[in-house]
Amino acid sequence: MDRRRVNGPELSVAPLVATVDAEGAVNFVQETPKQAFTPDTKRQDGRSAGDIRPIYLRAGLVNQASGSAYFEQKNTRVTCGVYGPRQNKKAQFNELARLECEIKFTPSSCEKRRALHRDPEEKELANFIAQALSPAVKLDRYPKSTISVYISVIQCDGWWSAVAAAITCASVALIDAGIDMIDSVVAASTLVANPSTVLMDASQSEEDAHPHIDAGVLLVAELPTFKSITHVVQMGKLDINQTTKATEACLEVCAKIHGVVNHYLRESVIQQAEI
Amino acid sequence: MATTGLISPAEINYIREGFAVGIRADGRALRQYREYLLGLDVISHSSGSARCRIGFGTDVLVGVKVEVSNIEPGEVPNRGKVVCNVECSPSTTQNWDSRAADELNNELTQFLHRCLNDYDGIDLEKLCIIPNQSCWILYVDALVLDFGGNLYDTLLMAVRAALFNTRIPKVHIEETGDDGEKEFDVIDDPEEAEPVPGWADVPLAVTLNWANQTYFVDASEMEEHCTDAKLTVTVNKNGHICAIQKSGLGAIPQKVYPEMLTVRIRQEWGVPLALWP
Repeated sequence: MDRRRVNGPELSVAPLVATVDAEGAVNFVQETPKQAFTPDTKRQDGRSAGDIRPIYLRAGLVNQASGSAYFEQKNTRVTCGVYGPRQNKKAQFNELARLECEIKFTPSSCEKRRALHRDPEEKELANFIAQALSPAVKLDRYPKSTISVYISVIQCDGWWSAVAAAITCASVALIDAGIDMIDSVVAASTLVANPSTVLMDASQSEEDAHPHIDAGVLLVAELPTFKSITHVVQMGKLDINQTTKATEACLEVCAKIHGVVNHYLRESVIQQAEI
Repeated sequence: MATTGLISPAEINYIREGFAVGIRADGRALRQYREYLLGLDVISHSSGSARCRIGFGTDVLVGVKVEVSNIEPGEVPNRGKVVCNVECSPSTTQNWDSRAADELNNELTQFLHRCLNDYDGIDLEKLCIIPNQSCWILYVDALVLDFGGNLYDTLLMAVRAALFNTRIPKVHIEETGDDGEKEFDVIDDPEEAEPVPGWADVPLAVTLNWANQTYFVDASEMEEHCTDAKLTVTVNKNGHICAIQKSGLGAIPQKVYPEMLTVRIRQEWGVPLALWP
């Protein structure tokens, strides 16, 4: 714990909700507990199993950066700034550019307060994101240089959906920075609750309602035009059919997100042309 | 993956062209593992240990230490803990730049952590001694002594063997009061110690290397420099996929991907079936 700073509480607690009953008396009750999804019910926010939350996307918000983007999916909010290509700090010659990624979950982004410094989890995610983006970027066009991608997750509603959002957002920021790419990278995540429910783009409460023991998580990043998978992570025990089914579901959603990304990119180009 | 920079474009081309026609520098088939050596009980002070050396290249030493730990408020009340750490010894990584070595250490540690802690595998609930009070904590420390490609597979092989080798002392629990308070004694007798619950469910990994429109297993160090992307699939004894992770800077075509998932460890590869039930 860092004692030099004002530390917030370790845990946040859901407030009690005030309700007024028939006799006019005010009661304070706990919010309804999180419930697991069953095929014949709708999800908590009214979506069906294959739906993702609506996306809002904008490129070019940060004036300082070469390119930037903001990505919002209900309560998941991610921003990304791209700097470069700039000269390598080290003198060592490199034929390919170095794609340097950093991701930070802001301290208040999750239910539990996150540390101010980068923890091992974030370092690994940064690695994932660099691996997911690299195939799309024409690194050989920028020898001796570094391209830096800085992502902050402002709010996280579902850990893996936030990671998927970060990848898509970073790819839009790279495009906004005018860096040569062969395609955009889009990512989607899914929660597979046994036996065969595939919940796309799971929110935090759904992740909590399906503990790791009987559920798997899958994240797929792809180049939609090239039909290539640039990254895939699976956690949790699934049989091969479930994995294939979940991957197909992710790829389907990726194609949809690609459409959204293209739409917003076109819009932002028009906007910038008007200014 | 860090490169030592000791490979020329001509060599890369030579090795990659070989993959296309199914020929590898050391004469192996595309789906053939190198010979491996597996040693158990190699560190006397640990609760369990193993060393795995594959093809006289990659060498991983794993030590498991078992200790009693407290369950802090806010943690899951009825589960034990597994703490993993993977470190490439400085003698292997001298040639790499320090950031690459750190990144690799972190990548492997997180991967192992996810394999053992979050899902399935070791039965964490059986590692709990008294709910809300005490549990067993397993420290799984892996040291990479030498590097010759295919680190993921070797690591999981050594970890599985070390967990097989690990013994946890028995405990005697008694109630001390009427209010349900409990205390326990650890029984020192090594004869009474028990194996790690669920060690047999710990998966093994197969890493498939994608290069020049084909894929192959068990890459040597040189071959690893020539691959576009790697796909690590961990599979348990029931054939369930426990984790998938892609690494490397390339992409894998969607068409081949489902086929790659179906690759399973087979006896004719000469793979570590020694501990396979």
